[in-house]
Amino acid sequence: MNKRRIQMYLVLFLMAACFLWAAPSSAQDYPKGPIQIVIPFAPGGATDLFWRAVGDVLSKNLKVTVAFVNKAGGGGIVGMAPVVTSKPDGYTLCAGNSDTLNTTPLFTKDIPFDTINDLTYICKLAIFPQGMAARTESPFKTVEDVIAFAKENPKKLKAGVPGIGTSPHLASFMFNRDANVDVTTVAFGGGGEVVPQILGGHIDFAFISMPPVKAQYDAGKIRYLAFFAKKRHPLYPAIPTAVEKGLKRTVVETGIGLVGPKGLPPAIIKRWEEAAQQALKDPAVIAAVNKLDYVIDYKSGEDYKKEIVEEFADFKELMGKK
Amino acid sequence: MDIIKDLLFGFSVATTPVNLLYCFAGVLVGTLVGVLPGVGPPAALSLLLPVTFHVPPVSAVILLAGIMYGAMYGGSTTSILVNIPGEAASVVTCLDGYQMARKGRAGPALGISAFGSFIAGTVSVVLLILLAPTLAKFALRFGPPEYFSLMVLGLSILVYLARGSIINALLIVCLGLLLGTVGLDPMSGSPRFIYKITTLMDGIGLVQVVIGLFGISEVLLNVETTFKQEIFETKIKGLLPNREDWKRSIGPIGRGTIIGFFLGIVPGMSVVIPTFVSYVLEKKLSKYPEKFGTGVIEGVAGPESANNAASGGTLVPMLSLGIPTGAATALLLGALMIHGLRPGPLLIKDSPEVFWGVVASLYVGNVMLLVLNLPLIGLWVKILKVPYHYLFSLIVLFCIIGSYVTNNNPYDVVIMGLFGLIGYAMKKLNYEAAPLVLALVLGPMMENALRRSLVLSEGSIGVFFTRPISAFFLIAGLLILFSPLFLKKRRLREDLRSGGE
Repeated sequence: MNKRRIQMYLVLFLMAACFLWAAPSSAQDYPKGPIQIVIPFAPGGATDLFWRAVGDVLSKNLKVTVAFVNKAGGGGIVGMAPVVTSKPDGYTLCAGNSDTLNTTPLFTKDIPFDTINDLTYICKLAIFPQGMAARTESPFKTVEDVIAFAKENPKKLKAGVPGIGTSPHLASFMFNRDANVDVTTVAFGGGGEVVPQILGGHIDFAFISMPPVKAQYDAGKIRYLAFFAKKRHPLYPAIPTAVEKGLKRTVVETGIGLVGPKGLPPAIIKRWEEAAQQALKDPAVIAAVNKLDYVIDYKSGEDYKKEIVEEFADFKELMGKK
Repeated sequence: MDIIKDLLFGFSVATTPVNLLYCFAGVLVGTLVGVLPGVGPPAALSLLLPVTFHVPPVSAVILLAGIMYGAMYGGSTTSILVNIPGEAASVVTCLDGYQMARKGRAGPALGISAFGSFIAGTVSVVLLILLAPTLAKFALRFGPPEYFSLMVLGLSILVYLARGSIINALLIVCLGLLLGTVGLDPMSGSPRFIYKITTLMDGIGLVQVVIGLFGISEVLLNVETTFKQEIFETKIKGLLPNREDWKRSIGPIGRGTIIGFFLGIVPGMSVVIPTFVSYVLEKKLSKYPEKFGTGVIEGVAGPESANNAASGGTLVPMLSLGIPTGAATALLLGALMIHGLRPGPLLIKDSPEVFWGVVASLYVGNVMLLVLNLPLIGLWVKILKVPYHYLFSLIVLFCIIGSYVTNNNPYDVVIMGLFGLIGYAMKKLNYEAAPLVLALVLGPMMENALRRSLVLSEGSIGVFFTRPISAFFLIAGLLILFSPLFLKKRRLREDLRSGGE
């Protein structure tokens, strides 16, 4: 007789457990329950590591658990799609990354939502600029060397990029436009795959951000030619920017921010803006962020959206010209 | 001997009580993660990563590395017991491991995979110490053309994977290659065979295919037959491999170790491929190749050693070049960087306590895993005595969980279910599932390598023949493909007869 009763209790318990997770929905006393942030990339990537580095402090500031869930695929689209259609109660958010928000839509058709209008922009936390790198044995010591060679030998130069529709891929188009050259790009599967190709000399150079090549840069095996940033990187003041070299519009600073479904209440956005600003002042966060080569660049939700829209217009014009 | 001195220093770091505890926690979590199908090392690593921010860097890496190779020990368990590979790297183990379990020899199968893993793990650490810098340089010579030719070699060994007709195997390979083209085009970003289904943008998931083809289809097959469970209950003979088992396994373990380690150091090569190579090699060398797939211990010992050695091999590019070879090593790298360490050429010089501490902990962890896994065999084997109406429900439950958690995407469960049906149909029609898995792994890698090579060579095919490593792989592949033609007639006839079965 007992067996049946135990089964009954078990079923009731499990059913009750299902409802425990139903989050409260009032914006005033937000946050009340655990918050889920979808990271639309694989574990170990740039965006993933950033959020895991700040996650603990965010949990502490908001006094609830902030849980990260990786849903990788399609340059971030696969993971972002379910967030777009989720309830705008602030308990399901998505790690937004410029790659997904204004670069992937330029290269990939059939994206099931509008990355500008179907999302609420919450805040921007940091950037990591893109740039170009070559191995130390390479004859290319400066950006000028690359441009000079490319002008004399059209289509001869082969540059690696970590993937189609990524920020570095976009950067390759900007470089070609501003330097008025024609460098062929070869897409690989992520930064980790590009590094051995640079070192082995299979490609002439690569459009890539600093973190994946850092180990080899420190060891003197890879030369970082330039950052595609508005100003010099605070951690690498000796490396020039492309703007200094006369490539006035070659700027790709991949932004890391937070987005949510359309129609998120302003109170929730405000709560996050405060929590993020507070977290970015935490010495532990600053140390971790610096070690991973990000540059802190806080922006409110409104400014963040404005920036993404402006960049998107610029990128569209660039791609339209091609 | 500097190396011995360094290693002793490493042991002094790794055997402090705190680090022993972290190592044990790592291998324990790793074993569990390996046993649960679909829950791979990356999931566990990313959950534990923030925890490691608060501990010293050596302990952090010891913990995380423990998870990584612990998973390789655990991965074989469900393959052998219930025909669901815990990891894609254990697909091959299903072929003979599960058959051994059905014959009442689950214990020796689990035992030999634990011992094989131990030997491979230990040997690959020695190789790692001695050869890391040289090997890392060699791995750099792999450009896209070399990868392509290596994939051709990989595909040509598929012919030997087949138990039945070669034509059937080739059909399945083509199906696998076709499935591998689903997703965004890697060179242009245009969608292929996606039909506006977002889940398919990154292709059909390997884990879902594997769990469906092996796990679900097995349940479906068993449900329709009134299966006699007494086979499992009465005839569990011995929990450990006997002397005869050892004699037959020691060769495969040695060869599996070498294959796994050397393929593991090539960046981007998955842990899956070495297991297939090892299995095929054992089948080729065996005096009774026709028995492979019916429960021979060599078919378990080789691949299980290969996947452990390969996960040791993947540490070579990570520690010596700072290059991650997959999500798991990327997370390990991230952990090092957050602690302000510089993985790569400078690690040994800058932080010898980390490098040698981790290397020594690999030994310690392997001993722990052996001690941990051998007593567990008795427990695992008892699972087979669970009545089928409970066991099968549990298997289906784990299949669903496993296919969901890789990407936390409910549609992946649907894909897994579909492949369960496909796997069922394939079994009914006598088609093998393993070649499909290998083709699905190799297909996209081969396509990428081919297209990248042709961009780099500006469309010239000559690039595959003028580069020595690439030419070597291509020729080896062609030899393997056509070698049956040169075999003695008697052997050929035997092959044909076993093929007709």
